[in-house]
Amino acid sequence: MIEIARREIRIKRGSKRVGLIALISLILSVLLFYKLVTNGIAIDKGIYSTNVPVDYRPFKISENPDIIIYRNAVYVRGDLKGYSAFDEFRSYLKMEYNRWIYEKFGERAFPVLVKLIKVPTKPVKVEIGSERVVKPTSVTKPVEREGKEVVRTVKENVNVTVGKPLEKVVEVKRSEYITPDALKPPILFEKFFYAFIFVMPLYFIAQTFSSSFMEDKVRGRFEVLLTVLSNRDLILGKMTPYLILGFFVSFAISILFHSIVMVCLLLSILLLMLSLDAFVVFLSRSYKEMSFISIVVTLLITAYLFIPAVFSFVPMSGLSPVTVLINIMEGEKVGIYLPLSIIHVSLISLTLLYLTSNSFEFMHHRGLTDKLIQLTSKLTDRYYKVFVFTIASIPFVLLFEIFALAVLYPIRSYVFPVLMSLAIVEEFFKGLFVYSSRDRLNPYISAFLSAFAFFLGEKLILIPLIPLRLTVLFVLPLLAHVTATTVFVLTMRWGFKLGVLTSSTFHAIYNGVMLWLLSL
Amino acid sequence: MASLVIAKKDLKSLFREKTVVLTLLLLVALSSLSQIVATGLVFLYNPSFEFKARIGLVGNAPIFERVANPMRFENLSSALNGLRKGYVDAVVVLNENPKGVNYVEVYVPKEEVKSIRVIPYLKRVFEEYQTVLRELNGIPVLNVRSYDTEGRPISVPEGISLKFRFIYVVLIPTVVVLCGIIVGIYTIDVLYEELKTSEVLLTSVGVKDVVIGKIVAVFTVSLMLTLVWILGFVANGVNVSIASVFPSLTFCILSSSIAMMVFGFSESREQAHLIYSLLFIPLILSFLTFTPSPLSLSVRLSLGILDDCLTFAIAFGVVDLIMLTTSCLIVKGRITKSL
Repeated sequence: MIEIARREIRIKRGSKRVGLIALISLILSVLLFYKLVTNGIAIDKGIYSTNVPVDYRPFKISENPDIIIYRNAVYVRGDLKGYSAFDEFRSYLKMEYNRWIYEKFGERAFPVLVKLIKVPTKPVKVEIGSERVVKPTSVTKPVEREGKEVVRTVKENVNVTVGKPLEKVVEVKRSEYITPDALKPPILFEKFFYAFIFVMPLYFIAQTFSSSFMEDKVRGRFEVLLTVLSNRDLILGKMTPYLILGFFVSFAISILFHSIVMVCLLLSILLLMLSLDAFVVFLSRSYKEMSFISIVVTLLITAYLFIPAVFSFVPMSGLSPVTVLINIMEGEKVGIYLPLSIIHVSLISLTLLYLTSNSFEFMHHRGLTDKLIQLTSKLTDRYYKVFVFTIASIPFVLLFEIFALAVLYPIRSYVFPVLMSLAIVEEFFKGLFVYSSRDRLNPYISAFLSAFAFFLGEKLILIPLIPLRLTVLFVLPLLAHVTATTVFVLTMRWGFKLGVLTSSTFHAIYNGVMLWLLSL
Repeated sequence: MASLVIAKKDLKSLFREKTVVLTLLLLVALSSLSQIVATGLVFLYNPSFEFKARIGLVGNAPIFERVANPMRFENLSSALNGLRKGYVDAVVVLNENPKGVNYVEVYVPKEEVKSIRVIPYLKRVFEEYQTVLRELNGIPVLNVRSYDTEGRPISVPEGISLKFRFIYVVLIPTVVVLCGIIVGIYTIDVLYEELKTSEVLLTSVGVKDVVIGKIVAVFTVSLMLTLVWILGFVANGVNVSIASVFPSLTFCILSSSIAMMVFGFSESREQAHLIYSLLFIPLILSFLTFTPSPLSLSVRLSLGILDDCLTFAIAFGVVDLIMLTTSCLIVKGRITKSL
């Protein structure tokens, strides 16, 4: 393994030309990035139009303007562009107005300055030596105000834990006083941008790895190396230099943010990228194919990692290492989500690495489905493995289903094609393990195990949410899964694809009927 | 004619592998996913989103009470308990000074899902409060009135430009860059593939035919990708002008020309991929920093802003032509050298 790693470093160190280009690229990128941060992105210049000059980059004069400014009013064209132009013009005016009144009236122009203090509203454990509980306490009394306006009041029994004043016990994050205009919800765009900048070097490391791995495959080096090395040693040896390089990059970033745990997060992301790229190389028949699949997979994984960070207030979004990374950059506590995000991403990576290390002998087989059948056939020689691999495939099924839903979003009103596509994704994975083990295992037992595993993995998350007496509702989906895989077994003798098609048709019809019944 | 046969062969192999179909589906998926994200962003972050937060007040603030109609608490401890128990969504600590500056402490839930709903409401309340105090102190108040083209008063939601910017300033340039990357990498791959068989191929066709064949194939792929992303957006209800075909193609040709030059100077395919990536980063950053650039052109043309774009379009077309001609000569030299 160490020899392979050394060889990889020797090959990559060879070219001075690449080193020089990398250095120039780095210097240029840093300079341009600095300009970008200080001046902002310039591509929005002149996207809106007005009838009079406005000294603001997005606006320009046009004969057919989005907004017409006339005396003290603004006339807006009634489309999204017109409304957006007005919205930004209004923000610009506010900015200018604030500057003007500050010059004229000084601090008096801003009679309200706000300081936001964030307090956790989930129950907090207060551990203080001499605490005592005062109860019940009347919080307020109704207050009658001038003009017979009654201010709403709360009269509640509240248990107050005394020992230290509560406001000193709860963890507070204080910010400076700001004007009301500057109050903003916690939008993560800026943090999101910086996170992307920090993750970007990892993409390039992964890309270099995949090119090198593919080159080995295309030139038939694997066959030679595997005569003296085990599959595992070969793949780990190839990955080691890239992981070391990734470690240095991650370490530099973590020093910048004074957080050593960032190394673990960034390395888990890199491991995911490397294992995905290794699997992509296995799937691809040519360099060209690898490039295309790699782009698709990279974008999918970017969406998988980054979209949760946009909606970081959703608790499950903490499963993405990027969300945790952003929270660390913000100085927030990440708690259980730090190990959870690293473990879940590492598990996906290890599954992919396991699959790839078992795939060398099928590397040159033609056809994606054939390759997958050969690979799963090697792995599913016991009933329990059919069960385990079906459960392990669920995250991938969900990923493909999201992709399918996104592709079909424009035709979402046509329910059956959408249901059919989702059913094909599920039945493909369920059927794969049944079909590939058919020569060694009883297909009907495999079908039941595959259906049960899928049902279990899929519904496990719902069990805590549904009362015990209603668990009978699960019988129907289980029956549907079992019937669909049985349909697959009955029809797979005419080929894997036909089996998937028939079982998917049954699955889609079942889902359609259920949807129809629910809508009644 | 020979070059057309070579282009046809390349495109056939691309479709045989079916991976290009996956890429095309990806572009459609990207436009749909982004629409979903854009809608989600507007729904969550729009300050005009209807949500009435319950505000708790600690202190003496009669004007604020008239504006915000809060619940009053006797002290901060009980107000914070009220916040924790969900009786109020925010706690304001304020002892009002109508003639001076009011320093207000606002306690909001730390959990972002709650604060996202509360903060836009607080913003509106405090802006209104600020206006009342300014009027009281004789400070002129900004009042921007909006009307439709018929002269009827309209209310334009605050923050509506977020969605617009996300689609036209973030998403469309991203898709254009993505198409450029795909085409660039495809160019390197087809050229290196041809290099393996060039000795045999060049017995029946000239180097010039091979190069032109590759350019035709690359141009066809670029056009296909461009049309698909435009159709993807249109299918998702986004207005994209057909004029945006031009900057997308310009960018693809530029990316392809750079890839061809890299092919000319690289030793292996993996090295070419690496050099291409290294060149691409500062290129994109410069297109984002300086204007006019093919990316700023893509934003403006996708919005149908044609007025002063023609000059830039011609300029970029000429740059593309020079780059393409130079890169063709470099490729020709590399293929000849390899024989």
